[in-house]
Amino acid sequence: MQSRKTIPAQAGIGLRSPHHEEILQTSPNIPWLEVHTENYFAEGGETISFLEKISSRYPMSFHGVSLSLGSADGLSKEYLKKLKQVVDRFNPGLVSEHLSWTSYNGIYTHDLLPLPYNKESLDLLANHIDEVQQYLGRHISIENPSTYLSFHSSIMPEDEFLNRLAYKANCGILLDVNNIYVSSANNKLDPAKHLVEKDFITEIHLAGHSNIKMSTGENMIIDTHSDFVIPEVWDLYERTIKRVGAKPTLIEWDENIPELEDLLSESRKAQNIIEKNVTERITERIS
Amino acid sequence: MSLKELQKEFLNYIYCDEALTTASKDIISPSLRESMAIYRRHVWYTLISTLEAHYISVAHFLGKEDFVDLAEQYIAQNPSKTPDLEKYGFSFTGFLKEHSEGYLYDLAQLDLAYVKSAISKDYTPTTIEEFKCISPENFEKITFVENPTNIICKLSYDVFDIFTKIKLENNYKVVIPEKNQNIIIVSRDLDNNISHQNISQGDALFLYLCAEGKNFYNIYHETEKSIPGFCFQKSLTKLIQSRYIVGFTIN
Repeated sequence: MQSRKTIPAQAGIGLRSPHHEEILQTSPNIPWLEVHTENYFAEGGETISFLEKISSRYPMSFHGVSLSLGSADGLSKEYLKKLKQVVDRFNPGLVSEHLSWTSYNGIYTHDLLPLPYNKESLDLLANHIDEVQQYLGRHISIENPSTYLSFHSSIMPEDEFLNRLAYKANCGILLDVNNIYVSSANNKLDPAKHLVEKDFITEIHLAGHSNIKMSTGENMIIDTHSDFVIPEVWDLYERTIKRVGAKPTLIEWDENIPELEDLLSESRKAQNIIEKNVTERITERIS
Repeated sequence: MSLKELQKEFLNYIYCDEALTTASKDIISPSLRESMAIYRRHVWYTLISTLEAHYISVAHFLGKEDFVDLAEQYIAQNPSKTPDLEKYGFSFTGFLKEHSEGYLYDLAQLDLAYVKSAISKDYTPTTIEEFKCISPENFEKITFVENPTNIICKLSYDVFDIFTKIKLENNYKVVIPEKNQNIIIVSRDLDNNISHQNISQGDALFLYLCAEGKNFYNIYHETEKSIPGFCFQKSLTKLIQSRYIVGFTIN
């Protein structure tokens, strides 16, 4: 098992295959990297060899999409076993998943499907998170999803659900600021009122998105991770950092992947906001 | 409604396009149809993309439109039953065998062999010199260790050149291959490069018997009896040197 490298409260980037070779060859100054856990479930070969090399140089975070914590019929033992193998082997600084479900009755969608925010969901998720944390022997963090609908059976807003979940399950929260923006816009909510407790937040995600027009004439935002972060999301992020302090922040980009320098440029913007906030806090304390 | 009922209806909508009933009363959206369509589109896009990534030569041969058409038929009958997306679509070869020309099935076998070889276990190969150190009295106790990245494909069409050219040339203009029984082995080297080679019937039988756990003498007798002109010793040397056999155990 590799030694665990702590994820610093700085801005990192999502590691994607078009950038593998360049990062290996040039070793750019990036505080940390995040990968999709499932991409490294192979027993051997190129991807594992690459991860061995890259994880010896950079702190790594593993971000999964298929654990399906919200499945009403339980967790996949097959998936858990593979997850444990790869987490034990590489010992990442952070392990995270989603507040969603992707499978039921042995059928998988490989998408992040929505859950109502009520007691049944809360109890189910807390039990599953506890099961996963016991099995892995470590804490995990749960990311808020992008949603395109909501439920009458929800009895609390998402941020309250996340706070209750983090407390009940003793897990972390991966706060995706772009997802707050997307879900709030799609469900007619105020993103400024989405307030996860700062002590629960282990990581922040930032990403771009796309817009589509519905037949009703309304705009729907799709969480495509395919573009630069928009100014409104940067603004929301800055306000979040001001409230919660410096947190590890990741630039996500999964489709239409640009040059590495574009990702690094986005991460530098995030880093500037973190550093500006740290300076302001120190100045406030001194004065 | 319970989470189980909600998830069951959601899945039926996503895979079978069945209208939501009870779930629709719980969902809040300016347009239920369009909100649900976002999820459905993404699921299908992900699965089609996975099939395209796995079956590169088949997709090249058919062209985008025809491949997507076949992929959609496959997905409708074969929703994903694995949390590991990389393993989705392994039965697409069998589907092609039933629903398309035989040469597409052959190409699909080779495509899938590359996928499986890429994710197989790593290995440390033995050498022929190490084998020569074994005393003959131990031969009957020997079983061979096959390279875990080997995938043998029994083909009915002459697709070797077509498959190779599709890999090398983006704009390769495909031709319909001739019928020809042949065997190709796909394997991964120590630098993680995957390649494919023709392999003789005798060598293929040798490797099949290895995989079945047969010992030295079983393989010797079976291969020399079944394949006229086959030389066990030459085959063993070749298979070790080619790293299709990577070790042995003495039981």
